Amino acid sequence: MSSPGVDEDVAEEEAAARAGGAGHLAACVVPVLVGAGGLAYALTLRLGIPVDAGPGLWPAAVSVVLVGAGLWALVAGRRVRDVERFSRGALDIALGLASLVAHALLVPLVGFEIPTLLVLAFWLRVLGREPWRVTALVSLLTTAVFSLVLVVLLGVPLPRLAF
Amino acid sequence: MDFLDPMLSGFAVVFAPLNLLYVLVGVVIGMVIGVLPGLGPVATIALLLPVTYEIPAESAVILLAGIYYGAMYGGTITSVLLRLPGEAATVVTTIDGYQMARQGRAGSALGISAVGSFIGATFSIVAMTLVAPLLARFSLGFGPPEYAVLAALGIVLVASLGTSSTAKSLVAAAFGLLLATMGPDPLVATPRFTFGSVQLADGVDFVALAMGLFGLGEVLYHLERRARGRSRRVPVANAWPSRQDWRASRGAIGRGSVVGFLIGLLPGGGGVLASMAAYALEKRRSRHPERFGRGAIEGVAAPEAANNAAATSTFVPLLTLGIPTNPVMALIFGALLLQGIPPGPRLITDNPEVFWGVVDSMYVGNIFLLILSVPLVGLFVRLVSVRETVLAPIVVMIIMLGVYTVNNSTFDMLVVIVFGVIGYLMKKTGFEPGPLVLAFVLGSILETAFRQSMRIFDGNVAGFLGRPIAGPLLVAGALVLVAPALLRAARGWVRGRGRVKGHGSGGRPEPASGSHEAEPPASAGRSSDSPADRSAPAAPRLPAD
Repeated sequence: MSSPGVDEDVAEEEAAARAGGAGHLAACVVPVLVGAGGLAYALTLRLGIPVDAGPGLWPAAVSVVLVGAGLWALVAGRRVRDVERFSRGALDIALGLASLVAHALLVPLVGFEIPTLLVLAFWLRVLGREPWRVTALVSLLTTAVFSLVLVVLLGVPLPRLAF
Repeated sequence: MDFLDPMLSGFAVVFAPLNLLYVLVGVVIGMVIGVLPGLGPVATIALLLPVTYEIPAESAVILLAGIYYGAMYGGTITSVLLRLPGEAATVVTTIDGYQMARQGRAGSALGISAVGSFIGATFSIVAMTLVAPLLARFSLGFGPPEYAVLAALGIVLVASLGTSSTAKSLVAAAFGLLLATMGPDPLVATPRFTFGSVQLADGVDFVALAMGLFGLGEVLYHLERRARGRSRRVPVANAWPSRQDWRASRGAIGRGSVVGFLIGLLPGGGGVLASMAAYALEKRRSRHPERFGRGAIEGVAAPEAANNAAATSTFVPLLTLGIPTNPVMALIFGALLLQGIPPGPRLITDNPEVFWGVVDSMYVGNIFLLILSVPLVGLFVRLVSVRETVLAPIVVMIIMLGVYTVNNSTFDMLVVIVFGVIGYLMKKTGFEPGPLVLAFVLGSILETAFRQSMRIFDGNVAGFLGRPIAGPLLVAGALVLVAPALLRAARGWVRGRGRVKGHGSGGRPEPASGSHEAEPPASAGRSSDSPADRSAPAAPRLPAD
């Protein structure tokens, strides 16, 4: 949902800044480490031989490919500036994620209605800086539509309010 | 012609009132998300996976297919009017489509796009109707080695063609393969990578992975770079091509349809590559290539016919071989598996209502789209003014509650958040999630088929080359992979010789013939100094569609 219908100059201002060599290094080292971790775990399982492969052989082979591809990306992509720098907007992402974790934890405890309403309101008002009227209208309507479609029409056993 | 009866009975499936409704709902959703930039068919299909679990298999795929090809139509509208491609496959259309709109020919551009899209898609459906049963019959004889090679080639070709960085796409694919190993070993059922968790005993849930990577990851990515500005006014209310438009573009539509159909059959092929190839072909064979980028109607007609033809033919490998060739097909593959129907050569005989129902629904869906897209252009364009800040929370809640409904599990809600973060970080760091999802889907097929093949070949990997189908497929795949590098080297050698000759004769060296026209359109726009070309969009970073 990238900026529908906005002026070009505004959209251009929003173009993400590129990270430097450290960003590229971090982006490629992570998959190498994940591959190394996968390989270490796979080695704890029986490897076997190709004609009678154990459960660890395939994950070990895939982990080696991941390490190799990560190293290739590290070397081949050092001139390509396709890693974006994290901006101040990343704070919004952290807040948004925290609200979603809270939603996942609260739904089984208090039902889906109140957490859904609150998370919608949070995203609209705090993250989206929408006016109060829009916040109230959209969050109430959306929660009502979810109740109608998921609970009434589809009969999904979502955790509900006690009353 | 023994396929005629089941094909005709497929129409009975489509014309069931509920399925007609699913076709209509699918193409309308497709057009809407095609109009909304950023929320593409991959994300939308991922969001709707839980819904498809609740409805019959044929209805589910009819709905998802409608979203995919509907998005091709919708993406055109904003590409032409606002130079905002709502869908990656319509990026090329912005080049000449937007120029036509600036010259007051927006109606012609939109009209010929709709007609070209309809013809391209219909050509592709007819060709698919004829080709798919033959391919399915042929592939009935495939064994584990053929499936291992097809799955491996599918992953490698998708990672290397149509993505911005082959190395990073291979990383994503390898990560997808590693994730696919979580859960029980497919042959001996030993738990792997479950870390003692009961919830991970069956591995990572496909729906949570897809919704997280494509849905939540996309929302988080745009949350950070949110732009604010006022909506533009869009002047066009309806569109229909004139007779002159039709005469100028009918050849381009025909060629675009054929190119699109063929590219859609290939691993990694799809609307994005097809539209670029069709544009490049038209520019190359034009007597006045300088018109391209300045409002040439062929530059709109050919890519539109091609991307719709490809969106249709890309179903052929999925429905006949059981091999998804792009991320959208991987999601539809997952939707069929959720229903307990494995796609493959037996689909056409074991579940003809699914196979022919889906194929025949495309005839009807494209008629719906033609009807919708010409008179209702103005209505769809208004959707562009829906604010991202309003849309994002609604999408997020669809993801959170949708993923819960699949297994009634709050653990899946946390998994979707984890994959949302991974999807966001991948986009920030230049890794595309498409190859990851494709490899995740194909991972268990590949592992099982490879290990069975090793038993057949007594552990000798070279055994693949001795198989009558798997061997040539491997060689062909290798050729496709190395061909671009070989072509570049050959061109460099030819240019080098040209320079040497030029210096020797004291004259100015001629550029290699046709090299400029053969350039992809975006890079042509970049390298040109003409005002028209300067206003063409920057080179698109192409996601696998």
